[in-house]
Amino acid sequence: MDLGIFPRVVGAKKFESKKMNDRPLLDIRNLKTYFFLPEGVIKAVDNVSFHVGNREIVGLVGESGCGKSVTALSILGLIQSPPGQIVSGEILFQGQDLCKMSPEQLRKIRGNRIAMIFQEPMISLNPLYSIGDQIVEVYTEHYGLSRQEARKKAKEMLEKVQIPSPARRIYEYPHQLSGGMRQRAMIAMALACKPAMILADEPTTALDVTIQAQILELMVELQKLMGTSILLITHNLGAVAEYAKRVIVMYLGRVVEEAPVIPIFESPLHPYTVGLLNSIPKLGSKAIGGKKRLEEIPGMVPGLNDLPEGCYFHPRCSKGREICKRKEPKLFENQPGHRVACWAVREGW
Amino acid sequence: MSEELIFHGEHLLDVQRLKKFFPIKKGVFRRTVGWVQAVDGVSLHVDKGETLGLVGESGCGKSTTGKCILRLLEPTEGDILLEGKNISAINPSEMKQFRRKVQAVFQDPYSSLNPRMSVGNIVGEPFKVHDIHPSSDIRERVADLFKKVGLRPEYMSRYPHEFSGGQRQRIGIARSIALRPDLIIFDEPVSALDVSIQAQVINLLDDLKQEFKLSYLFIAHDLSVVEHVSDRIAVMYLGKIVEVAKDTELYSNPLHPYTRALLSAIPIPEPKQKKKRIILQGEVPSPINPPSGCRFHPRCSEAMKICKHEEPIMSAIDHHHQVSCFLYR
Amino acid sequence: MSNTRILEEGKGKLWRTFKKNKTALVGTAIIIIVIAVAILAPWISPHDPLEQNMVHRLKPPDRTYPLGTDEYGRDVLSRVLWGTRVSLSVGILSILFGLVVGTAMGAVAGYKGAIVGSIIMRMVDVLLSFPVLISGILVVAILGPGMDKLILTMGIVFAPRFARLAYGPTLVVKEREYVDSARIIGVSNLRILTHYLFPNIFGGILVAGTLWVGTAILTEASLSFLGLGVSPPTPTWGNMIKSGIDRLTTAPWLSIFPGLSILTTVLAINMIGDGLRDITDPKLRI
Ligand SMILES: Nc1ncnc2c1ncn2[C@@H]1O[C@H](COP(=O)(O)OP(=O)(O)OP(=O)(O)O)[C@@H](O)[C@H]1O
Ligand SMILES: Nc1ncnc2c1ncn2[C@@H]1O[C@H](COP(=O)(O)OP(=O)(O)OP(=O)(O)O)[C@@H](O)[C@H]1O
Ligand SMILES: [Mg+2]
Ligand SMILES: [Mg+2]
Repeated sequence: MDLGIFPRVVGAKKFESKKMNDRPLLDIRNLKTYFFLPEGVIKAVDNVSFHVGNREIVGLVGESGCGKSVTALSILGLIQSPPGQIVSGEILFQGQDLCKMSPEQLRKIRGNRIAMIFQEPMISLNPLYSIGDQIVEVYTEHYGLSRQEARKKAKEMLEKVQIPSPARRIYEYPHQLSGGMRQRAMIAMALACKPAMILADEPTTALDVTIQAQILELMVELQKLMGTSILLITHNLGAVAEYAKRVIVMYLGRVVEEAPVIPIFESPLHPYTVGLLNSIPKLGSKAIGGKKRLEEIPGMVPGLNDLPEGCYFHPRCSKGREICKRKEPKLFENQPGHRVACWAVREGW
Repeated sequence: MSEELIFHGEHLLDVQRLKKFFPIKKGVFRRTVGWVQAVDGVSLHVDKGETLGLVGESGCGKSTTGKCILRLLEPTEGDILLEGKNISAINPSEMKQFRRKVQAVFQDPYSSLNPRMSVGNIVGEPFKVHDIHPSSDIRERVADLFKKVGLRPEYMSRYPHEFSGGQRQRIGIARSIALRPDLIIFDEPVSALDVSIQAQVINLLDDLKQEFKLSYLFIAHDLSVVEHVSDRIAVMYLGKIVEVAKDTELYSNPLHPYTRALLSAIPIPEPKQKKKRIILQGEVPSPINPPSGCRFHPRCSEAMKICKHEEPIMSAIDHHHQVSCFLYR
Repeated sequence: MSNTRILEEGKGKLWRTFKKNKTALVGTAIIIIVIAVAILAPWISPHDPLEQNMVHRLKPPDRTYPLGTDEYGRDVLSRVLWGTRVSLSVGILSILFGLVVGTAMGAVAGYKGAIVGSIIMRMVDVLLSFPVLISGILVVAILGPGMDKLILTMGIVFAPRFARLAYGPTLVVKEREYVDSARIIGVSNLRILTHYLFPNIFGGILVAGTLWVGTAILTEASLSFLGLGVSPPTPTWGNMIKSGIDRLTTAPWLSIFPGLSILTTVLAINMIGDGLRDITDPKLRI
């Protein structure tokens, strides 16, 4: 991809690991978001803590239904209520607790400081307005620019996300664009207000591999340029390995492991992370080592309304012992920056 | 696949110059104003005991190819031969035979099972339709199949919605092997499943293939999965096959520029490994007005003059590797 | 998901689910009573519904005539009880007939598509352009009066409505992958219609069908009133309302009681319809 206007960036993980300055951009502490349904309480996010530093890309991975999207929606204050509710915890964004803010304040932050890119751009783009108008609105609303100036800015923004012939596209409606183009338009809109943080919830899952690569490269390039932090939510472990600096692994509403990207992939500790990594076929491994059987994690993900006692993973875990069935393991720091919630690791059996 | 398994002289499945165009109709009189050239001259074969992978991006015509082979769609042109027999001209009783030999499993585990039928009946349906076992035996046979695919036979009287995606896919697989077919066509069988469940289903497919000496046509867009399960891989782009090669060969020596880009676009879960990425320009063009000449030329970094005007034909690089590109003429 | 929900298996599952549905149960109870009344009418009616008694004409409800008398001095209660027979059989049988024929037409048209489908649906559209009553009059004019003819007529009138209703969902359902899966196994077209399409479109049709039982009962009334249905001395709820409507202010009992009967019956049938829709959907079975 040749941007011209931007310096070429090779590989996103070559960040300097500079010491985090005292306060992370986003700091989530003991967040609990539950859904109160007639059948019972769904603990979609259960005591989750993690942080995202300035200019950092953090990957949040986990299987379907483990609470990734609910975490993101909690940050934005977009949990549907009822039945959902943030039961307890703090979401500190630039030092302010988002949980304590009024809906009005939250809306300001949402449009301005935190942007969101969803999997399906159609739900976040308004089908009744041209994409140009939607970006123009960001500029007139947040920067008080005149429509003329805003239009010029919008055109620049579309150029930045490499939408071809932006002068024409600016008048087109979301349904006239392809999936990849819509996602680009979405990114343009998200970046228009120069947010400090982007929550990208499966931004490329609905797209083809080649388009997926285009979009991810673009996001990372703009991230470098604009100094934004990204929380990259996905179940694509490859994308995380390639673009994230730190990784958080969730299982059934809890964080089970958190570490910088290299240890996560090279020396994962939690049996679930290990299982997950072993269960994906790796491109090219057959050429090297011949065909091997994939390792499976036995059983299946239990429903959130039918959770086991103790460690949620124990029924599927090969290392499980008595204590795992009774007591929930807490996250502990095994090595600097590498936290894991597992009795086996903790007790060293 | 090992030599002795190859069907003598002819392939198990042989698709020749298959075309499928869908009419685009407009206006009150439903006039045909154009054609979606979904599949445009696809030739491929599957040998006994072999798994052929078919990869390509969304809309390139993979499912349409599969549906033509399954006789769910009438091909516009071309021949489909099963064990040397052309299936476009068969009578109803031969059709019934064909149905026993070729089965399929689809992507969406939620919509591929009739919600109003118990899963036991769903899996037993092929026996009923083909009158193979007396109805008193069917339950037992179904229970066997359930065990084969790792489901508990006690669940037979439940309904599809009571199962998870992975379990539903197992139910579909159980049904597809009920008649002991020769060939099973999988259309994205694991795409809708969670990562940890994908591995279980892929392993199951491997086991069943061994046990029943099955042949697979495995359609998917995820190259890592396709590479894992396939013996040979065909890469499709906009209605055409651009490259066919043995699994490891395709990975270690991709020839077509599209294959190379596709391979390089796949993020791999190894953070230390640096990848030189070929980022393709633009998007897949529409199959309604595909580009002239080589369909890939507008996005190809190595496009030459000839690519614009002439269509490349499939040429064999060696016994295991064919490519349709002017670079290798 | 529901893999966690361990279900106890048993034959009485359908009935158990239905039983859980209070509304449906009440509806069923009412309909059983109504049907019992229809059967037992000769024994439970206090008077002969056709016996005229000019001395006691237009009497308001009292001890001997609990629901009053009409302009010929006939006992309204007895007439309502006897009327149940005609109204119920015409309403239910004609709708059943229309449902079976119409749904088959709509499903075949939707599944076959192309030319066969278009021809069937064009015909249906033409038939649908007439209001229920008008097409009823037309068909009766051809077939002639009488209760059996009336049932046939109403069936013919409602069939295209069911066809329309079945057509849309069929188009949706036939695109589902399970229909393709069935074809791949070799399931015949007929079996696909009966086992794959029909069960999946049935819920909506059933609910509409029960609603239309009400319409059918009312249409029967109108036709009877016009002399095209059941001939006058035979009581039906419909012709009772019609003849009472002129005296609504002076003798309201003439039309109120047959009206209430229609209302109760139609309501009860609708309640059952909702219940049925729930149990035909395995997702809602508990
Ligand atoms: N509005 C809601 N009402 C009830 N339950 C909800 C609601 N939204 C989410 N949930 C539940 O919360 C849990 C977590 O959902 P979430 O969408 O966060 O999963 P996810 O990790 O994003 O999965 P995916 O990869 O499929 O997007 C799920 O079990 C879901 O059923
Ligand atoms: N019934 C149809 N009528 C018209 N066009 C169709 C029809 N079915 C498929 N197409 C078109 O044919 C092309 C190929 O579709 P197909 O479903 O075969 O793609 P695919 O490779 O399976 O894609 P995916 O990965 O998204 O499943 C697409 O452009 C699609 O829009
Ligand atoms: Mg999500
Ligand atoms: Mg497809």
